[in-house]
Amino acid sequence: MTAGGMSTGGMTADGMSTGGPGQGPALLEIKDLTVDYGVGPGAVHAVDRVSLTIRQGEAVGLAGESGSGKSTLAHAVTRLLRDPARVTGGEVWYHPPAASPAAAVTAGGGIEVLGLNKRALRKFRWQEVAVVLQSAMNALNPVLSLRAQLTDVLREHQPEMRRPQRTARAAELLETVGVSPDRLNSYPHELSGGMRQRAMIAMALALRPQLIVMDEPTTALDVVTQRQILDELASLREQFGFAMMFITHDLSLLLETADTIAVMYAGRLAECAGAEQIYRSPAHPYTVGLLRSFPPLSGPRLELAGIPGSPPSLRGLPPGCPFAPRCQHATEVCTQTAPPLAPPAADEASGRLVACHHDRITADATEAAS
Amino acid sequence: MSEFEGGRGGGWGVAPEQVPVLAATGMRKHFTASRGVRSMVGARRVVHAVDDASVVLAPGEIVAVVGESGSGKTTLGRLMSRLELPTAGKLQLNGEDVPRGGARSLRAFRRRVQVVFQDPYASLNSAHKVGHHLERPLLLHKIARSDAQARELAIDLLDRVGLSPGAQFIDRYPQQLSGGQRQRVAIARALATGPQAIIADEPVASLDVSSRLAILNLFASIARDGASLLYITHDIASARYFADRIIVMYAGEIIEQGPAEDVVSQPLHPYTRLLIDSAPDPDRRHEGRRSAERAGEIASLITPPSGCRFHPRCPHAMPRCSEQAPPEFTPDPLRRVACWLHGEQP
Repeated sequence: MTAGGMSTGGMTADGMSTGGPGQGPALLEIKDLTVDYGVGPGAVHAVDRVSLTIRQGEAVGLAGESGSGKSTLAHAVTRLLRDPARVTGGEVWYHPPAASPAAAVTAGGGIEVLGLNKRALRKFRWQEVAVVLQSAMNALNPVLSLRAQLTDVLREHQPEMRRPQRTARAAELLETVGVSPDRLNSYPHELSGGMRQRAMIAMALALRPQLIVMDEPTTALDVVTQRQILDELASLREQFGFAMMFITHDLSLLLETADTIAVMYAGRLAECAGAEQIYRSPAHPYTVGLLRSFPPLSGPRLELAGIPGSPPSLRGLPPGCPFAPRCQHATEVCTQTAPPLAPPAADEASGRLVACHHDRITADATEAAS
Repeated sequence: MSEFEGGRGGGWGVAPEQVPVLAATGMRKHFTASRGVRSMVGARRVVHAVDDASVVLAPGEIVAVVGESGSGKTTLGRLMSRLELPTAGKLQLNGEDVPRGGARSLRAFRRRVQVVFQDPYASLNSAHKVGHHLERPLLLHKIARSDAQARELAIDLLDRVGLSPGAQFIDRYPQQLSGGQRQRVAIARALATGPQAIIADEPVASLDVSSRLAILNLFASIARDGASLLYITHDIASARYFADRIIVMYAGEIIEQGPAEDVVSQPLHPYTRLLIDSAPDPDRRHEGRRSAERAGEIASLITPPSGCRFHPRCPHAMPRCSEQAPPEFTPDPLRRVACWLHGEQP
């Protein structure tokens, strides 16, 4: 993954990018995206000039606490934002792979998602990008059976399909995600939380999208069910090769599931690097703090500190680095200018991007890890 | 059901000469499910929320109760804090029976055993300042004899829980505080009566990730000062982090308990193993374990499985497991497990 405009990720005209930890052609390119809540002087930047690229087949994890802007970012790129949130800057480019039906239309170019009209957006959603939300109970229609909800998607997007075919496909989809097909006639309230979330995933898979955006898909589930769903997702990804944008507050979960991790803080990217890099040698003090906020299941039982203070209010952010008030490494420069997201000097070739004035931390962390 | 005196876990975890602060013996709680169509046709539905659970809290001890939703861990906490009356079983404070009566007879108990709830957004009244929440118990329990003294003690309490200087926080409203700060106020309120035991039900689950450890550390320091803590959680990693002992519950029953580190590093019950294998652990990223794949879902509490309640999901289930509920075995003096794998051969 690279961030748009950064030196590690020289983008060519056709959206192929070079370098960085991610491999393969870009699928979704988020460029300088800003999302505001409210207008005028009272507006806050929930997402503040974020650039991020998801490659074909890549699992990108978006980690952050409440208010970090991770869900707003996901809603913006899938055009699900509701008032008073609105995109006030930036672009989102979708580059369909050659095999996708959208590729014929774009003739090698990309689609600017934020500019899509209603009709084009209907085609884009489900077919190219599908979404799985945290609360499947609320996302599923309580008065429709799974059959009705699954076949609905198929009828809308594949009108040539006949009813028996649609039912067969719906049954097949349920089976794919590990739900018995005789659940087709069940209503959402008759299913456990895990089964509902699986049904959501089945629906997302219905049209074989290139990208599935998952906003806290397992947060409301018990730990065993969460593990089952994560394993299911891993094998589905092996089978179908879709890319994934996985959003969660649980960094320890992302370390297992994501190829690349982007850490958000106060609407900005704090750090973006391969999962292994984030785990072995986190560079941003916030990432370090987050990692130390999850007690391990093995190794010595040490007292961990978490991060002092509380996440900031987006109203009245300090002028410099938003993390500076909680950062033990903060110096004067941190309180004055916001650090750009850039490759750290000590670790330039790694493809990692960090928004921190202090490269020293990177060097220390890398040493400590090796 | 159990081979041990007084039900599962009873009389253990406390040195013989020590009187436990809080001791629950053979606790059982059955709820009658709402009267739906089924009860009209005759089948009365009973939810077996907790069955035959015994828990002992030693002075200054941190005991974690770990389980999934539906395991009965919250009900057990409510029974131990007498927010719920048991269907059967006995609760003792300092070796004396806790009365089954109303608020008046429970006043002494309430003073000694305090509760911290999951959601500090719901447990503090937004119409009242922080000070009110702390001064009220101080005055009600006659710990402070005047309003001025109550205020003084309240400020001390705020300092104690890391909201310092307390004088700066005492006149704020809950909604002016972050989630972590609110939970500190709730903890300060629990400390106001000088309790011997605190029962905390998922006290960090609704907080921001970066604030959670600070709250757990605060609980640890409270326990170091002598109060016992019953920490109820779904997160076994946080239980290992600071608890002395871990109790694992499944479908209303205690299935394993022992020293925290031992239970996590060498779980004895197959369900404990499943819980630990399911928890996110970046160190195991490339191991590709799939033990949870066909593990099914938690057992019904209305019609619990026969024998061992875990047997339908258990990879080691034997014929005996569906016929006979396993008693607690003691494979090691410090550990207990309710599983036939650790019993005498049939």
